[in-house]
Amino acid sequence: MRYLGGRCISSAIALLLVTFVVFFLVHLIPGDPVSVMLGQHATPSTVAALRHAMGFDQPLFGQYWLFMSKLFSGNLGDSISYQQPVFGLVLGRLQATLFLVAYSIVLSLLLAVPSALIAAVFREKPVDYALRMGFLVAIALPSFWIGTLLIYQFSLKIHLFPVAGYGDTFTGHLSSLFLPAFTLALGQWAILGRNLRSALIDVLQLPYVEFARMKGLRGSTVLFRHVLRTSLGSTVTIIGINLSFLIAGTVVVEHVFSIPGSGNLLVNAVFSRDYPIVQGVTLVYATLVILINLVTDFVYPALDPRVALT
Amino acid sequence: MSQIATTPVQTQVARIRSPFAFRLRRGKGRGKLYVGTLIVGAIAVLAIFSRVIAPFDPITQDLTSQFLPPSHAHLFGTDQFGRDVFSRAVYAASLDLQIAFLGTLFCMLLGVSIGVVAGYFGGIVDLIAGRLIDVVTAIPGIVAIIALIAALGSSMLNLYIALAVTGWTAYARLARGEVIAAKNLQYVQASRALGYTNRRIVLRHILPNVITPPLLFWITDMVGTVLLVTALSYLGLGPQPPTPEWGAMISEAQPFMLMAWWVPLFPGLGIVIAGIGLGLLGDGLADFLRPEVG
Repeated sequence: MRYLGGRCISSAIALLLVTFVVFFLVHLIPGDPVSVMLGQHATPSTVAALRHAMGFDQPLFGQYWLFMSKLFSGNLGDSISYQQPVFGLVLGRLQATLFLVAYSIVLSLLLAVPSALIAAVFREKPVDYALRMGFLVAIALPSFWIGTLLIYQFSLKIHLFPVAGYGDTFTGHLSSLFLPAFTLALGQWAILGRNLRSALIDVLQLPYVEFARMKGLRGSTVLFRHVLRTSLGSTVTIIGINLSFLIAGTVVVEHVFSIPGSGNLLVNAVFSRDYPIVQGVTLVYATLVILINLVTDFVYPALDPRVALT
Repeated sequence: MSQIATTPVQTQVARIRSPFAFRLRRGKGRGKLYVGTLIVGAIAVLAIFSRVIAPFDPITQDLTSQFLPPSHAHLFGTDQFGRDVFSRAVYAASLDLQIAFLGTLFCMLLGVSIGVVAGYFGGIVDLIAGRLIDVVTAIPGIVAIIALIAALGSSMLNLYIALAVTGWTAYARLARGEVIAAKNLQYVQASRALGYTNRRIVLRHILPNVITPPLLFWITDMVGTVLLVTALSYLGLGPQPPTPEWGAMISEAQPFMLMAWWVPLFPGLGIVIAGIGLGLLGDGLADFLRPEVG
């Protein structure tokens, strides 16, 4: 429990420092951020009004204080191009992103578990070499390129999936997001598959597996009930660690497939110089990553009793 | 394994004479190492001699030869401006590999310095470094880079700054762990007892002993950085058109995909082959340098 308490405190510190980084971001803009955001056609009075609204007329510490006090009431400022509160805008778009993340995790597990089992059981056989070669290639695949090729083949040529968008119903989401989720799942498949393969190989060599076989249990029972269950613990940690990587991946994939998610919002905000949105998305994503890592720390000992955290 | 090699005496003689050459012939992971070196070497030659190898200028437009399919004259065909895709892909290799190489080099220098200092001195320095690592890893890589480029503006210098600021943490973690493990070993205690300065202990004694894992990670990191940089320029945040760059070439070719599949295909293959080559080289070197077990 002391370990987990420490993790809570360091997560809270990290979150606080992230707010500072996000706050400081607009101060990295060369020149006057307000004039940059409003463009060349802004009148001096609108510039002054926005400068006051964003607190730029105050000293730096006062600005951070204002930023934080607004943040605690769920206010991240207003988007300049959408003329809406940033917080609502980002949270509204987050649904598609989270759906995509969850969908790709499910797909990557559906791909990784069977292929890791096959590779581990037929270790050093041609099928193992082929799968390991597949992992190596999948890690090197750029998502935007494979996504583009998938759109070309499955949406433009044989019209199996929609070219872009998110769909309206749950089945609509499943169909619209299949190709983007698959694109993301390929990279995850390689990481999870590699890891699970070596975990399975380690467990397969343990004495208890041999004992289970000697006891006369069927091969499949040994493999699924005893070996796979023990090996999957590390996969959970890998999914947790890679979540930040996966969320980063959605930014690019949402752009390729024109999905109205928060990553797409971020990329478009860069081009419209909508800094409050850039700040909002960064803050929300960082919060998500910190929370997920914390949850992973709590879940892992529950899944694997061998890990006793003191 | 031949019979001679399994004889212990022979093996030892060979090891003493030339351990490196011996392991290059017999060691684990040498297949990956050879293939990886070959691929990376080939791409490096293409990149370094791009001016000599590319048959056409990568930027000059020729609107009389738009969308020509791959042929002898244009190995990878031509794009919407009649530019030779092969020449552009070769020039792009030199730019992308340069960014991946230098970008990760800065990350490694920064990360190893922070990690070594944090691990060696511990205490408050380690605490501050740990919190810094937490913050940087909390913001997903490409999101942090996009946010930084959004604020600083899109230029080569800012791209390198963004890559270095966001990419050093893994090196710092690796180096910190290695230094903490090495700190209590006898050779470090001996150099302390001899009254060497901290600077001399760290630079002359600890650093050479802890640098291998960060160096190995460097090669793996380049695979990810090639993907990251090409993705950024695909999004329009990297080198701007008409600069030949793999990601930008794919993004520019997307509207014409049904007409000319070859324009987005070949730059992507370039990224994949570079990634596979670097991946094999990294894996192979890791197997090769790892002390052999059994």
